[in-house]
Amino acid sequence: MNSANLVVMLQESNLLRGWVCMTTVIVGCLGCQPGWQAATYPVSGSITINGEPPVGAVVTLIPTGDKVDERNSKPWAVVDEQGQFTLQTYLKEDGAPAGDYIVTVKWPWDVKDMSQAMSDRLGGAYAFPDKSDIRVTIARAPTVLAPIEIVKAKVANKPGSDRRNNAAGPPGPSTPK
Amino acid sequence: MAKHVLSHGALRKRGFTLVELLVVIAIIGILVGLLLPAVQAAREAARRMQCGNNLKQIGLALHNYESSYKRLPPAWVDWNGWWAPPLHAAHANVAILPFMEQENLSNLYDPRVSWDHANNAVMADKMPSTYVCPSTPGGGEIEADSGFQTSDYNYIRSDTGWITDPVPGKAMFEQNEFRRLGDVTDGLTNTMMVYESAGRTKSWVLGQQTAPPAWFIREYRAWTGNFNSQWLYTASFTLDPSGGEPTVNWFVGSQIINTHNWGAAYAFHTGGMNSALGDGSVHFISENIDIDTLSALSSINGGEVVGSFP
Repeated sequence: MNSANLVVMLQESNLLRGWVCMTTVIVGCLGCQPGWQAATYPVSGSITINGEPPVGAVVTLIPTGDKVDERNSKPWAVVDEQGQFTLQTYLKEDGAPAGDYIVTVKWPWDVKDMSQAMSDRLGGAYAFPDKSDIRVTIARAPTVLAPIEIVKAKVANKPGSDRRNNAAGPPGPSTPK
Repeated sequence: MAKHVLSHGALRKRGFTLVELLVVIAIIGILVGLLLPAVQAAREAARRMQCGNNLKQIGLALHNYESSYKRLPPAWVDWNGWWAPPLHAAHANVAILPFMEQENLSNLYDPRVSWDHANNAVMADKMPSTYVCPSTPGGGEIEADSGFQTSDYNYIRSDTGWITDPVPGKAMFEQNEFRRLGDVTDGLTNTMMVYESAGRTKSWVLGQQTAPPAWFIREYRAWTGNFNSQWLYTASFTLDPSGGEPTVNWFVGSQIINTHNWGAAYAFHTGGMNSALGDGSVHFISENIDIDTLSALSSINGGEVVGSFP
């Protein structure tokens, strides 16, 4: 191997290194949060309805100020067996953007079953921002919300009490009987 | 003389070393790598435009139908009376055929029987290319279960405010409804009519093919099927790595467009989908559109002030 070849090889390896760096930068950027999304901070909390954990209830945060991003995203969570929840906005348990929110609560019979997911055992009493008086503030840091306690709520004890599901035919697709 | 010998010797030494070749190949590779995405993007932009043009044709056909009959055709036909008194009529996909230069195809359809009656099996593989979005992989293919082709476009039924709305039935197409355009008090420019629900030959979720849910069958998929209409709603999906049916939290979160194609808004375009509004105009709607704006677009008489959107 002569010296000229060696020099070319060295230059090549520099070139190679350059490309490796550039590729790293490009791939690194793909891993970043997309530009339209707001920065989120981990948020967890707990909730009871009439003293019991409302397992499978959906907690949604409606921004009271400006919308948090282009899409007007609303952070949400499904309540677990212990009555705990961890908010998410874009990805699983990624938290919520900082700001002031009204908390709405809906308790469908089964959030994972399309034909049941629209129902609300609470009859919509806490499902709308104008009906809920639960307010929270998310800071620019990991936040644990004060426990939410809803008392004297009227909770339906069997499905089908919410007639809106059948008012105009199937809201979403459901298997005909 | 000596000069000649020298040049002869130089000629003999000419040729490319391995390194030189590699450098040239690398440079060509880099150039191709730079150009190829640009070419692909241009091709997709062209496909997207053609896809929007199809919607324009469908929108015009709907308007021509309305000019003749003073009402829009129904896009959710409860032929068997599962949820409402039975309606025996052809679905909009079939009803507008004479208004999009498909009179002959329309004559093959027997409107006295259901879409899946033997008399209408002839329609299975004769879907007009207007119903195929060129961006859809496998667009226009036969769906195995029904044996019919699937349309890449869907009609809107139930406004998005439905979940919170005690008086539903406010979208352009409703169950068994022959809509009058006069009912659209929000204005035709502020009301959605047809949107993309592409690739329904297969089940697609967040860019992946998945097993379909049990209910996503025949009449929701076949292009002449009764239920080629659906609504816009949020849902949060968790994919099954092995390609099975994803688990879904329904009606939560903030993503509506391009989550899944089970009749929902789904397109194979980056960042959004095409939609035809009531005035026949076609818009590319970003998947990051303000969901309250999208909700306002879905109703005919919600009284909302529609925010700006592209």
